[in-house]
Amino acid sequence: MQIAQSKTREQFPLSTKKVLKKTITGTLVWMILLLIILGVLVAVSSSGTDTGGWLGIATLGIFGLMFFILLVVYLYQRWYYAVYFYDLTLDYIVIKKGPITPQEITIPYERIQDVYVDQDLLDRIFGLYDVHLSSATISSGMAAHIDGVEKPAADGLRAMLLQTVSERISKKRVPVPPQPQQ
Amino acid sequence: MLNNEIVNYIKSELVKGEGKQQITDSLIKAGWQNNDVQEAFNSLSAPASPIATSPQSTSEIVTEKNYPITKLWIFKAPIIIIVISIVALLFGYYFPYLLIALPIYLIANPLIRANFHYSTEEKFFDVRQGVFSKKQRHLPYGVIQNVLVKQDWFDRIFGLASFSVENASQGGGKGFFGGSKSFRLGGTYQQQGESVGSSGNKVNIPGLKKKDAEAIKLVLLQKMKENPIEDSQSGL
Repeated sequence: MQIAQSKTREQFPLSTKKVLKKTITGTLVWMILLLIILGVLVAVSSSGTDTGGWLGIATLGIFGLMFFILLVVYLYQRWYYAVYFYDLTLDYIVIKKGPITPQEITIPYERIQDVYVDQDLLDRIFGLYDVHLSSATISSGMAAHIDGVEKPAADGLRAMLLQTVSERISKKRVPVPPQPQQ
Repeated sequence: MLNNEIVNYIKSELVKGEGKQQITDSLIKAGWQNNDVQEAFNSLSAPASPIATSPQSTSEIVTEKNYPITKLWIFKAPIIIIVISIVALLFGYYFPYLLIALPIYLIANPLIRANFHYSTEEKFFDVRQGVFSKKQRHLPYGVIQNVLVKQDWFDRIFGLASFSVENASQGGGKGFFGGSKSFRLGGTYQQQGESVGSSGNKVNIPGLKKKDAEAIKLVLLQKMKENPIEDSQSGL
């Protein structure tokens, strides 16, 4: 699948483990639910006298459904991963995500309110990091984060963001013009 | 001879919003020749950056006449209602109140569309709207916090997009939670931002053609770059 490439994504790539993690989080509830249903079915059938073939068919159906959900979510997450676009351009941070309903946010560096890196439980297990950067709006808090990068990329992104932001907002720091070579 | 060092320096200074004269002065003070500096400036204005190639030069004022809300947008809500009704009918349900809403949309949307105007003035992004109660908004380019281009399912199918800019003003929640919500694959709710024009901290222009939305984005980003504000709101 064609991956949305940008300079920033080349330098600080998304981890492919993100697809796996998202597949797990996306299917976990379904898995638990279906296993509970299966458990109830088994309990009902063992208490009853009728030991017909329906339990086998039901088990097969439930596992089939599980597999189907897993496959669909996995493919969707693969797609999501492929179109995930982020780029730190000269003036703006551009983040675009969503394969079916794309949403693109552009934030000027001067408007970044804070940069932070976090991990949830599954991130800890997979060794992934989420780099958040937000302006003062609610929607930027929702949309402006780069999820699922590994430690070097997370540190790199954070350092680069902090560096650029502090450069851009400090008016006092005047760089010395380059000297002509003699 | 064109010197990359000067070019890079000029670029970094321009980004900070320094004037051409100041940059030239400091470079000449550092010992560069005037024509070297001018050459560097000329080379900078020539190349095709994505913003420079935007169809509208930024001195021109872009209005809803250049990039209008498409007529299709009028029928967006009605089409969605009809589709939902048909699907519901297939399952043996029907929602009469949805059909009551249909003519309301068909009357209201053309009026809203006809009364919605925006223009990219020199210092402000002006938005005029309202059928009965009129509202005018002048958004300084410098305070724009972020720029969004979104497509929902309908937009994606018909090649539309909605464009919005936000600032950090109070009532930020109003525009955000006021909009309709729809179900998205993956089980989370997503805000659609379907309000027209300014509401809360947001100015939203729905139902644009995708390429028009991109074009407005480039114009606005260029304007934001040209009109920085001195007092940064960033907390870093």
